[in-house]
Amino acid sequence: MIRILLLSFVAVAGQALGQAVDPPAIDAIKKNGGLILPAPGGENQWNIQFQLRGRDLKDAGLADVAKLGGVVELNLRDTKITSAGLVHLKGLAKLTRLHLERTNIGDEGVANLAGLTKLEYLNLYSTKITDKSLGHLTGLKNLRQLYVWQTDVTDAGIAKLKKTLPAISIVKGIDLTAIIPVEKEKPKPEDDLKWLPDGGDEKPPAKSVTGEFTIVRFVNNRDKAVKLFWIDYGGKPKLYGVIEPGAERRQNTYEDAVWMVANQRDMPLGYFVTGRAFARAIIPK
Amino acid sequence: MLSLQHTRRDFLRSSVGLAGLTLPTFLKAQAVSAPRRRKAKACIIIYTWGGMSHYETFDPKPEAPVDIRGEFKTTRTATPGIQFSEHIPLLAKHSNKLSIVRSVHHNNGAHSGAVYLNMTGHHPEGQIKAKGRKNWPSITSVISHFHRPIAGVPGAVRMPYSMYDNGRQMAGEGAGWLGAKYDPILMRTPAGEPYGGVSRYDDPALNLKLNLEKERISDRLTLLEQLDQSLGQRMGDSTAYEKLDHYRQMAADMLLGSPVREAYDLDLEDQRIRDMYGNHIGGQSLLLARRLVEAGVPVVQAVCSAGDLAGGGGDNWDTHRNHFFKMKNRLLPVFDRAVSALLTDLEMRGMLDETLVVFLTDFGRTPKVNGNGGRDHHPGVYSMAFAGGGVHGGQVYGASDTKGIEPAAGACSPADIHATVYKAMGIDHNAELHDQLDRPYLICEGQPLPIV
Repeated sequence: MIRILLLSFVAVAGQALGQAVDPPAIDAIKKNGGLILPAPGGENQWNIQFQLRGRDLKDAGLADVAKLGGVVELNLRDTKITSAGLVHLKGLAKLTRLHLERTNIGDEGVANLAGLTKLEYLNLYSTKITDKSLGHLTGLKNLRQLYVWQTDVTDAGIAKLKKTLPAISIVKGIDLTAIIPVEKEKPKPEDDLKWLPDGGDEKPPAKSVTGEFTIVRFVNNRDKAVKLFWIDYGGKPKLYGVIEPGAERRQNTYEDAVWMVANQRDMPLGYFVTGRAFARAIIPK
Repeated sequence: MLSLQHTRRDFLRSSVGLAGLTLPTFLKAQAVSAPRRRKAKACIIIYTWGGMSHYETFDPKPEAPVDIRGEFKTTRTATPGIQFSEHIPLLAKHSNKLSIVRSVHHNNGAHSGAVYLNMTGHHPEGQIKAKGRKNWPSITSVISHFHRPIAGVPGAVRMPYSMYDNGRQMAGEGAGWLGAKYDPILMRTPAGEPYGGVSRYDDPALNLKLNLEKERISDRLTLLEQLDQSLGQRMGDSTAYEKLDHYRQMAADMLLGSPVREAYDLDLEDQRIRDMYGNHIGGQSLLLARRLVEAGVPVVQAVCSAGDLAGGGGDNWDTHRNHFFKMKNRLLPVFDRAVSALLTDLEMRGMLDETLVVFLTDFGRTPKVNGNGGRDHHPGVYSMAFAGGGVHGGQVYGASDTKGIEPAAGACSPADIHATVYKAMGIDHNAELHDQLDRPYLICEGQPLPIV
């Protein structure tokens, strides 16, 4: 059984690789952290990715990719390649998608791509390219998507390339300096919740009702510590904490909640009923 | 598609993941599955937990009587003929990237059933339990089954917490009968102001924050001990061992220098980009989602709401009371900014065409505004949207009737939405998957919408 399996591997190997593939090149690509995935569209078509585990790839490693042939997609994002290394891509005639973003390549490197006429997608964002690079791309009739965010490419350069390649979409991205952070919500002028003294004329509801989320700041103006209880949905008091004299407590709660303030012997002093807005609840002297 | 199984042992042995496969194994994998042509390589699912109103987002009804159309006006979008509600002005500028579906409907008016249906594409049968292994797998789990990542990268991630309704965890977010191996990893987003309201943290979640500070982790045993402490102690169910092993493997791989660990460190991101997403857990989750996709995670789900509905009091889409105030001031600003930032970011990085963004929710909201100024559950018709991943933007599929009560054209089901996602991801929606007892199941009963 094992032998049969082994034989079938060999058969598969011969079938899939044909004669064009260079096994040492495959080993070298993998040694550099490259992933070799079969690409759609027939035998001997490869999608090679270095951006995940092959970020230490240097120019010399691209020679192995060139030996493989049949490369349809190549991702070199975040690798250590430079313009000099791109000479190895010249012969990759089947290349349709090429990722060079976030590398140190510049215009000299892009010159090597001028003959890759099958290219449909070229990603150059966050590289050292300028409008000169766009000049090298004028012969790429199949190029549909070009990415030049965070480069020195200008609007004029883009307009010029679009005249030669009318079907192309060039994404220049946004200007990061134009991003305005969301202002942190200013503490709104807080309402003061009404103090309902225990035994007073105005009685609090017997229990809390759930509503919108809100925040209440309890301020203890008494000269003694107080206990803070939430009156739950069943009308039972639940201790939340002790507020020392002169201290404050920021409390997350919901609208229509009933809060009871008691002395240290749990004798009720008074109540607050929350509203929708953030509020301050002053416990009087 | 490449479907490779690896164990942690394999990974440690080779230390370069897939790249370390021997030639025969690689070729075997290649022979087993011929690649399908597809556009999308990754998927980000944005789930507006609680049931997002179609009226106040993608399907406003300015001609309807005031008690139906509500308080908001409409806004023009970048696409002539498409109008959104007024409080998603940033998203309106991205309409050329969006494919809006205005005719989804089903018949389950409860959160538990609706989440299950929208997350799995299947109606719940009998009692469903949050961690049940009889459940259908979530769409994230199924995608991760077909799109295997390199070793050390999770197959699926969900953030920033699980969905709960009044303390009860919802079924439908896990891998169900596919097995614990395909359970999406729950990750806590490391930054951003949380949603107001209640969010529960019962599930084991990976928090890589502590480990980010460590420059070097050389002693694997110590590492595993740490993981045992942080994760192991929290698991008490019968599949604990299986689960623990899964988490241990995943976490160990990640900490051993996977791209995921770096992706998780949002401090490495340009501060201006972080500002663009908004300093909110909603925005920072989507920023993390982008970074995880860059790191090779095939599918990421972000819940855009407080974790527990808790009666609709907090920042979630279950707006039975005070609907307009909450939509305008709490929910839509975060949603609008975060989602628009994601689309901008994916586009300018050249990632949008290979990243499918899907908006899912429980159901829509009722036509009539109720006595508490709220809208109640309405599965009769609601809206969702797609972007990127080869989906044609600037279009609307289907329509609701003039009052937004039921579909008027192109009626479709959550299963059809799932079939559309599978198609975009190069997954045959008629594929069979096998449970742990090797019983076959047809993954999806829907048909893809003609928008991919």
